Amino acid sequence: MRFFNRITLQTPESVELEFTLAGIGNRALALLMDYIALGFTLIVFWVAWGIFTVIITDTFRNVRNVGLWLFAIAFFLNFCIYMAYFVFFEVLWQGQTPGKRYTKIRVIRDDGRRIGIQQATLRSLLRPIDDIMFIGAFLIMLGRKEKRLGDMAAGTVVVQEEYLVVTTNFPISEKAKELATELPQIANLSLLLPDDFATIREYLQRRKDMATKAKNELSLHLARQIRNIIDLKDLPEGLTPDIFLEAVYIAYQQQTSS
Amino acid sequence: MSQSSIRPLSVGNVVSAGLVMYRSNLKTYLKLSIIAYLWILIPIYGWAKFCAIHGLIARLAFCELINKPETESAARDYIKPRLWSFLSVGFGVGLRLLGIYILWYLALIAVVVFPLAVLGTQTGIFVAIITGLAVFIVGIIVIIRLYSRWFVAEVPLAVEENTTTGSQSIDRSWDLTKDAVGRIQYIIVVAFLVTIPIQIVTAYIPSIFQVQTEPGTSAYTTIQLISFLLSLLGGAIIMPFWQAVKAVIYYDLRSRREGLDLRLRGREI
Repeated sequence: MRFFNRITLQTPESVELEFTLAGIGNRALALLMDYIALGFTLIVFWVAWGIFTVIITDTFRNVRNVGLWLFAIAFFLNFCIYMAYFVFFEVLWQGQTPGKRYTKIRVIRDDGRRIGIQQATLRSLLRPIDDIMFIGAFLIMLGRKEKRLGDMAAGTVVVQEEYLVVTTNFPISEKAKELATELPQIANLSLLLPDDFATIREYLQRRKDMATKAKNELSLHLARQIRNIIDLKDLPEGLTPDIFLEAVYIAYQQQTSS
Repeated sequence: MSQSSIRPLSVGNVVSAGLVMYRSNLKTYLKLSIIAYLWILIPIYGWAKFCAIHGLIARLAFCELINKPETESAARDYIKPRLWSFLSVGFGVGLRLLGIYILWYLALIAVVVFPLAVLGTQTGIFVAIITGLAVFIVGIIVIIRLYSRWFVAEVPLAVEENTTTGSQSIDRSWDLTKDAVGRIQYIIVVAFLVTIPIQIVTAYIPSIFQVQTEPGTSAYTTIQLISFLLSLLGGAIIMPFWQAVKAVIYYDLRSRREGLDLRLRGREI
């Protein structure tokens, strides 16, 4: 079963792109962070405006309703800051706000292009309506494309950023490098599938965060399986499963690149 | 990557995966959950059932995560002999937390009363406020940490073959969540945010009507009864979501700490 909703978009050039949708969890987290940042900004604004009001009402004591006017203006500016926060960042950062950047999600148009000022503004204008009674949250949770009202009006979707796995950097022992040069002679590495290789790489990358006992069991298990797969009869003396897996990793890599 | 298993997940994705799983198994999970909430009304045996159904839903969700979906009856057969162990998980975690609360309470009293008695009211109050605040904050942090570490306490019992007693399961949760407290707290916050819309419908809207009616009238009693039933229903609707999230957390912890997802496919020996 699928644990994340996916969507296929068609670009104007009729190229099909597949994306993973952002999901309610990421969107809730992103919104939480944005609202915290926005909240701080608004607090700073209201404090500054308060000081400003005191000074102005002091100087223009003879003008009627100065305080009321200033309050009304402040209210309007408050709304502008709320709108501008999302529009500004979504346009400047190509569909991302600070919260979205942190959670690695992005707003794009239905045809995969980046969003412009019109889309960002529409989304932002409809945001308060989506927030009332959590209409937006329900639409995201229940809809197949996870679109809130703002997304429907602007023709946008929110997707996860597809990023390449970080470059492999894990320590490889000298002993493994030595063994890697011998491996092609004593074993049949061509029996190894790309999937198997990916699993070995994944293990080598993540082993440092694993619990010792579980790690030892897993590496032994993997090493035994790999040994059977590549048809290796005799193992050199004093070899740990980790070194063996490292050696297979290097040997396979060299074989495919040569 | 062409493997079907899912990799270590981000905080948001844990919550989303939990929700997607609940949505696609809505009927099964919700039916079980409502039954669990009816069992609650019967003491002891009913409570054990209530705890066991929590485990049952977590098991169903976990089996989907490892790509070996199980039928409800198969999962039930697995859960059945462990019924009383589930109750002991519930009591185990509950009593431990209760103990910590009592200790915290006593510590708070001690650090406030002691300086007052020894240093007199003048400097005593000043010291008491500072030590009281310190103990209060430390207590909250400790309780949140402990809560996170026992958060998946019933899942090992529902999933692992060689975990058969309640205390084993609690210890296992303790081991797995080591180094993951921060992430789990994050997940709980986000998952809680996601449940707010549902809680609004079942818990807050009925209370509006309650305000409008006079206490003592029959309308008031009826509305109170309805709102009680609705809050039970609200609990029943949300419970499977939390269990699915717990299953994802547990799966994710085991992937990170034990490489659960790192298997050479189709070549299990």
